[in-house]
Amino acid sequence: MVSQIEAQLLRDDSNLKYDTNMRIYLHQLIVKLGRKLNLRQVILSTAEVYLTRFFAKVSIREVNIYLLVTTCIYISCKMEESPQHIRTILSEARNCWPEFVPNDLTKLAEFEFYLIEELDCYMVVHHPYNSILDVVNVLKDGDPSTKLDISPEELQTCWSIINDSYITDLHLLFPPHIIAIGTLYITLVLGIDVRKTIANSAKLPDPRMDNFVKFLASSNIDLSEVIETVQEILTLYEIWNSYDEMTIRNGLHHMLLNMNR
Amino acid sequence: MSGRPRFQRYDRPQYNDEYYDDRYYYRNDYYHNDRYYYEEPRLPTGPRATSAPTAPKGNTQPAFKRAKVSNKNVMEDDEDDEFARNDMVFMRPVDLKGAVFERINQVGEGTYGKVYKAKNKITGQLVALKRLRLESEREGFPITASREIGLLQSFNHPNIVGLSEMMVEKNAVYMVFTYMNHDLAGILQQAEIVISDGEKKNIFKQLLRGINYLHAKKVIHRDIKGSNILLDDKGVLKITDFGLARRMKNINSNVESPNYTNRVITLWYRPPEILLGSTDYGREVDIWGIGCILIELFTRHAIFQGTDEIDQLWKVYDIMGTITVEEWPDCNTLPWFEMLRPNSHKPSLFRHKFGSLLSPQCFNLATKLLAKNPKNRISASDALRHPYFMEEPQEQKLAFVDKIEGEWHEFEAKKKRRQLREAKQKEMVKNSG
Repeated sequence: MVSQIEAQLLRDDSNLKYDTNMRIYLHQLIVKLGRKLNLRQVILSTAEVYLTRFFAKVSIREVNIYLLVTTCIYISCKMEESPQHIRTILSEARNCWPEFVPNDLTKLAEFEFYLIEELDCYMVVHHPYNSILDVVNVLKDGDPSTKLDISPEELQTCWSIINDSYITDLHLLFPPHIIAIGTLYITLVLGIDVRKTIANSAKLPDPRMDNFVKFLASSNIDLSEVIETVQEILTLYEIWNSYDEMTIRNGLHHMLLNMNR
Repeated sequence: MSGRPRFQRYDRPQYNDEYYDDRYYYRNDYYHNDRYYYEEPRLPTGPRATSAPTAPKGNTQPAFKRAKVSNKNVMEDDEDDEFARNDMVFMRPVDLKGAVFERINQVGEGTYGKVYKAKNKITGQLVALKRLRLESEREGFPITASREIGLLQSFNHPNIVGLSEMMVEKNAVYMVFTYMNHDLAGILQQAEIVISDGEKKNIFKQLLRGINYLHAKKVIHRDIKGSNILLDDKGVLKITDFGLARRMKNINSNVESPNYTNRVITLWYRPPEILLGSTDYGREVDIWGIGCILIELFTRHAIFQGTDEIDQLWKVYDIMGTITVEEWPDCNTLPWFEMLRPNSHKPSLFRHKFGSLLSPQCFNLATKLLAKNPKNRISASDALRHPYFMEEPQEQKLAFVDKIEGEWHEFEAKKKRRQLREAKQKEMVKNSG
């Protein structure tokens, strides 16, 4: 039995790694199912944290990630107080990935149980979305020397960077306010269209940076953690530019279809 | 990949994509046990979780595997001495056969499952194990259970029960709590336990502090009653059972209705707005239950004992009087108000019945807690500032807990009453035969 599993798992799926490319793919699966079900962003973010924590313990070669993504969303709907019926979730997931999601409620219920156990029953997740609003408010009515107005478009950019940051490990490493500050920093330095700026690397420095730096200096925030956050997000965008969905998907499907054989 | 070295995970230093295979082998050990739900080594809680080095070698398993509850009543008794000798050791692997928790007896029951008193064989600590049965759940993990777990993990207050651990088994989830000797319902039913007025004040203040904490966190308990209020042998009160509790929806209730379920709170402690079908209630529903308990501390039995929903409403009207438009102008917006309109107007008999039993300030507080219109009901934070807590007698340490013989939960009190009743019946049969 053991050798059988071993053989199955160690088969030549060398391109199947839990690396940033794979995580971008998983992120897009979650977003896809979330859009279909018309869910709030915070539910998807919670689901993505569950997913990251699950893969800190379990190898990607052992699970059906499509069922895993469905289960993560099902649980996070419950935890964020907007429960969806198990049938609704399952049928939407089957619409998205008919060949990989089994048409069996008990499979989903069983996986849910396994996931909760794997997460040690710690299901409450705090997100940077509230922190960023707090920070913006503090900056707005703060001390004149650090006063800073963040426009709604910039807030929107921060918001999308936070959404993207769930691809990384950041939410397992740092408290929400660190990530909020990190995204605000990126927005101020790189402007509203962050990914374009990274590609062209041309933007004039923002005159408001002085105030923001003063604010950071007097804020007691752990700056090394903020720097790490910024670095990690920039690396993510860099990798994203050369992201190739087809390779990942083919590798995964090859593995999943062989698993059942 | 960029050239920058990736930083490392704090929890798993070797974590890296390249180390993938390590993680795989790490997990693979568990397949030897031929289990799908693999078991991860779990450290025992508490600094005294040290080992018995002389424990038998051989066919033993590491004890900090996932605990399993068994009915085993025998346990090795050489452990306590070992602790004494190894006092300085912070943590050490334990060789222990079988389960960590030894079940002692049942102390409670509900729709969710059962509550057991149990002993941690490693630390000797007494715990309450709340078992949620999941066999009948076709929908997966019940939302009430996930709410309860999430809420309990977010609490930190001396008057709210603390969740020390969770255990997951194939068909059940166990929640591990510190054991509490009594519950308020069990104690109040024992006529031989005498509670002084100062002690009552102490109990009630602790209860209000707990509720105030919950309400400040925008949590509604929705099942306040005597058997959900625990007392330990040091006189600390803790609110328990968050199986019906929920966080309030973050909406403007003037614009849209929160639409909570109406099927909450044990009948005798249900406030009038719930009995009249409200689904946009708020934290006030807990305050009514608190008011009922204040009266119960003095009378020793529940104040409104209805047999069904409608009878419950009549019982409330009998004592508190029927609803008048002056005190509750928008009462006709409640769903079942017209349907359950009483035939005649009744005055309030509350003062007549309880005015002499309670001190004037205490009576005043009870009136405010039991206001029929939820908008007029006092909040927990205001109740804590009520003059009742200033007047004599001042609150006293709970001395009666030292004198209590046995442990009284509502479950045991019920059992005792049932046994008494059966004995009486037997006696009667004997006498008549």
